[in-house]
Amino acid sequence: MRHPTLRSHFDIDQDAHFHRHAWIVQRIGWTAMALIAMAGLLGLLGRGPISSAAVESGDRRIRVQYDRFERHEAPTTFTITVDRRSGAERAARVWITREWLAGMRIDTVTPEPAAVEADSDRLIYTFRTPEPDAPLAITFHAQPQQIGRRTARIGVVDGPEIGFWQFVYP
Amino acid sequence: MDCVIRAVAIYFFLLLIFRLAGSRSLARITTFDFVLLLVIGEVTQQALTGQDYSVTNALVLIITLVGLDIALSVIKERSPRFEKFVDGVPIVLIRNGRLLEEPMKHERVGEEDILEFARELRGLARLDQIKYAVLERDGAITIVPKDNERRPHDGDQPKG
Repeated sequence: MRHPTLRSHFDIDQDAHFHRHAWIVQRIGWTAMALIAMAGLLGLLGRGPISSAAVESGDRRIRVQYDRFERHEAPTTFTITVDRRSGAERAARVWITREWLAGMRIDTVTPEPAAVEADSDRLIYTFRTPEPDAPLAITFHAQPQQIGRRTARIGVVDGPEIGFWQFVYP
Repeated sequence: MDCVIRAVAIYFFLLLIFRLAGSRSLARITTFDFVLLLVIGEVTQQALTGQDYSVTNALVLIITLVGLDIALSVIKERSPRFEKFVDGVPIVLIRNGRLLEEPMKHERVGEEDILEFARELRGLARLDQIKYAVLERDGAITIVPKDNERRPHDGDQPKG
């Protein structure tokens, strides 16, 4: 029973029922926040242990290290390692699908390619090396420009190829 | 991963710096303090985001910072010792009308500061009207006037 004079003493619109619900929602929100921060720490929302990945061809001639989870316009790197066991020539030729590169802004490539040629659906990078047999690691510094799931294929010209997917967060 | 670590590092660094600066320095914000805060905000922003301007990064950073604040508030609630360490403790500056020089000197509070709060909060004009002055944890000074200086609506019971 509400006392008639109580409201005149302390004019407040309190709703205990509502508060109890708000507290529950708050706790659920805290848990969600903790989970998101944990996901960020583990690398589910960008770079991190879960995100970093590598694929290798069956004969181990090409290997790509990349991040499964990227962020839109955040600087990233991926490394292609080419092992030219049979290659007697002093050049390594690597191709990447243009569809995937279209959604990437390549800032720099280390070492710099001697030539870049455009195929109908792929770009072919040629790298000169002093030694014919040494494995060559090529690092691309890039920024993802497209949001969502994206697939790539990377390969050695006249050699093996590998594919992988990435997810770019907004 | 690194954005969460950066946020945690910056959070605790700022907590430490502002704790070392003392409660007084940012409680009564002067124009210069305000500019300084803006500059600190700008520098912090650089350190937090780096070159990652994605929405995801912003969301993760905000969630980490606010989450830390919530976590700290929960810990403070449970451990009074930790709360003391993080928030400090109130300090009496005037006891029974007597100025306490040592805490005032250490906390960099002058008579003028106390009088300013006394005027603002209580409408008091002189130091001798103050019974207690306390530097609170948030840097504000609260004033308890002497009994004969109380206005009728100050206390719980109006005086006859």
